[in-house]
Amino acid sequence: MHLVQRRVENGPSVMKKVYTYTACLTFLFSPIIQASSEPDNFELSLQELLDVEVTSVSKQPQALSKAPAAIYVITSDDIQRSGATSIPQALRDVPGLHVAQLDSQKWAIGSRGFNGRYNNKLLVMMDGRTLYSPEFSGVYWEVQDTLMADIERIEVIRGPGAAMWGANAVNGVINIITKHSADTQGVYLEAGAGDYEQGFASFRFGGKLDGGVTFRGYAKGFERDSLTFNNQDMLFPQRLLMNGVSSDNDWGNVQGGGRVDIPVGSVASLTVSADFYRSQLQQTLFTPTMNPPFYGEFYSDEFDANGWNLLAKYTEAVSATSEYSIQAYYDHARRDESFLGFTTDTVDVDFQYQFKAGTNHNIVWGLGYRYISDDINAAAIISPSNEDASTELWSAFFRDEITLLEDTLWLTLASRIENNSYTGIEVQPNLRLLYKVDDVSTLWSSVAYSVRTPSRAENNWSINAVNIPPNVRVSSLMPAAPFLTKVVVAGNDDYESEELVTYEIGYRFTPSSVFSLDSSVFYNDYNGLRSVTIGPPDLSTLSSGFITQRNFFSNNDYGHSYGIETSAQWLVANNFKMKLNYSLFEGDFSESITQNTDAPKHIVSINADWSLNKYIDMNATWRYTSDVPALSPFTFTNKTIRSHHGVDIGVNWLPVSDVTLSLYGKNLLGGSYVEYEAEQFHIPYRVEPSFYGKLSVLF
Amino acid sequence: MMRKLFIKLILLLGVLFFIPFSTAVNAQSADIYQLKAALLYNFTKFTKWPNGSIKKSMAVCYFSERYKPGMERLSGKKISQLKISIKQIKNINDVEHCNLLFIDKSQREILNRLFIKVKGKPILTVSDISGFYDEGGMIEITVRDNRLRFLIDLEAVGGSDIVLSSQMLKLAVEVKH
Repeated sequence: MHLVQRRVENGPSVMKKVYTYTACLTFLFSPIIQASSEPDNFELSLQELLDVEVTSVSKQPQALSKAPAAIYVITSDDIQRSGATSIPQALRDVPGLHVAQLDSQKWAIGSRGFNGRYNNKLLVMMDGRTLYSPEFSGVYWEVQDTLMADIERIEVIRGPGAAMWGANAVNGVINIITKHSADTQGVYLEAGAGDYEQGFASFRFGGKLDGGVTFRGYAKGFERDSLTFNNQDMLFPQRLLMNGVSSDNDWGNVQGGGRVDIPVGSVASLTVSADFYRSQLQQTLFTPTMNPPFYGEFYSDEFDANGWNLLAKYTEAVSATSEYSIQAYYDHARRDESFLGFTTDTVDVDFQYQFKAGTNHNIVWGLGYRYISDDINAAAIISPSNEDASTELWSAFFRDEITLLEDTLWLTLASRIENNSYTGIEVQPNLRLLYKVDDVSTLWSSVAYSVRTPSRAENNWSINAVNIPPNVRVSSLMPAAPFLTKVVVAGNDDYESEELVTYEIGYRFTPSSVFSLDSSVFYNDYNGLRSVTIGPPDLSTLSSGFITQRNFFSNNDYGHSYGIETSAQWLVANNFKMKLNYSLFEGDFSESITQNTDAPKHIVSINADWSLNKYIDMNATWRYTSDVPALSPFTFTNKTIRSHHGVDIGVNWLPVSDVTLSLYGKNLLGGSYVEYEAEQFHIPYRVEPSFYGKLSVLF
Repeated sequence: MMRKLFIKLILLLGVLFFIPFSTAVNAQSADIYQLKAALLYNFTKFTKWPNGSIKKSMAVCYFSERYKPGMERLSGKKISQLKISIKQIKNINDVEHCNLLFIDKSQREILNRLFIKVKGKPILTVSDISGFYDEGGMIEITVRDNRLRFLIDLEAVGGSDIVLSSQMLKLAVEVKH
């Protein structure tokens, strides 16, 4: 009776609400309808047209890729609006990528699982140069940088790219492409500061010489503050060991470089580019010791990382349908970390030829050679079997894109054959099919076999991972011993490549000029994943009071994963764009204690990009990452990194043309949380809300 | 009390949404994609192609995805009785019958091959790729002080038997002889 009474009383106000909603909706949509009827400029004369002011208020939905692969592109515009100050920040919100900040400098970026500080299943390239460290077959993200305003686009390919790009392009390829120097003419200056971003400044100048030669040079520098350490994020007893140890992880970096583009006649071009950097970083490390009661300690380490590279690429068209290119680069990287100091020198030469055979075959083939010299200078807990190691890699690839039905059905056959120093010859084939269903929808599918070749660590390093106090059992794998147990994990020649077979299906749907959808489904079947085999205990050191437990890297782990990635764009009005990115991941792996296998089950992000008028535009992103299992350092088990969400907001104001004032808020409204944790040796840090302002001027 | 607050909030949101859309409509300026399409339309008026190179209609072609909506609006327009037909090009070999060819900024990597293809042919090449007219293209569209501008390389135009009117040359910011 009471209920009925209340409902009746609420009647008019419910109606009021309905009216309000309707009124609001009308408000909302009437301008949209108006907005779509733009004035027609076709009636203007040439002179009049040249007097019209150009604006960038209007947004365009990004055209979807036509390739039979799960591709997502980040444009220079996306980077500018989101205010990403580093490449990892720009990669946030790409569907299928799990991007997490570990401390001020370090990031974990993984595609379709296997994320971590030492992720080895992702290939990252900048302008054709592989950003790869042979020590662990992965990327030191903190030293991969450029002037953010010089990035033309970042192409992210989820899934295997091995047939084209080679080993390690197992779960994804990230291609960072910088602008042509003709597009960076004049002087550009930017400077800003905030809390995490303590201060930064960048300078670039571009010019033109005779014969269409264009060039640019840039310099940049920044200081970034430490993230916060909270000892509640660590387990007992490690938490106690952190007492009195500095958790500082701040970071300073200077970098410079340049690029020259030389047209050679009208059919060829030569590009030469170079960069150098020097970073000063601070971190807290764990090292096993021989001192009771914990036989391990944390210490603060301040170190330098520096490097440079030089790249040249010559491209020449032979006919309207064929072209070749030759590229060579040299890359030098040095890190002076106390637990791992090394110098790596890489020389790489590539040749590529593309041509059309008949009317239905688009063929590309290429040859490559890479030489890496890798010299270990300091290693507190790592002892390589040989300090100076060099490896060679020979490769050849072939790809044929066959038109089976004109403008409807394409088949791509590709394979790469490589000969590397550790496992010899590896063949990585790939078959892809693209079917244009009609004008608005496209289907594609792919089957690929790819491998992740061993890193130097897995082949010939011995790592003193931990020392286990007497009578302590840390893992079900090893019984407790009455003595101090020194655990060493040893790389070895028997260690083979990890193998992956990937099945993918994708669907693209563009029903109108204002809406599009891009989805993919994958199934990954892994074999020979890295595992650790327990060796017999070495009792020879018992007289010194400890035994050595020597374990070996092996290939006994396996598993599968599957998931869905979706990206939808909606042009709500001609000055308002929304984007929804979502990925779902499920994994089932044999219990691994050597690498992270699973991605968060759900990652969602919603982005709104809105130009209020020609002076102001705003950008807001809400993102959510669900619980994710991660290796727990010290305990040889998995722990759960809790779900978290946050909001990024950016406002760009253009008071006069070529001057932009921006204000950005990052990770807002989500509190402070651990995004992810490094697999070993490091401590967890919390990501917190931060702000910064920026002024950029183009002369 | 709460309900009133809620309604006010919704109204406020509605108004907030209304502002940006309305300002966009009233802005005295225009979208760059559509403007460039209009510029191409104007170029056709000031260009004289050699006899026989224009078939039933004036073929305006473009290498681009994002210019599609703007370019499609040109379709069916007329230049003194001659109808314009719009064609999106995805393959260099398909440019053969184009009278005007627009190449989007994002297509820089096809230039070397394209120049081999169009060499000596009566195809007016126009692009917003920076440096286009230095590298063998005919007309480069650029933006200076928020206004559209264009540069002409007469040497490249000369080899194709295309003639550009003197009026058009006068309006170009740079003409290379």
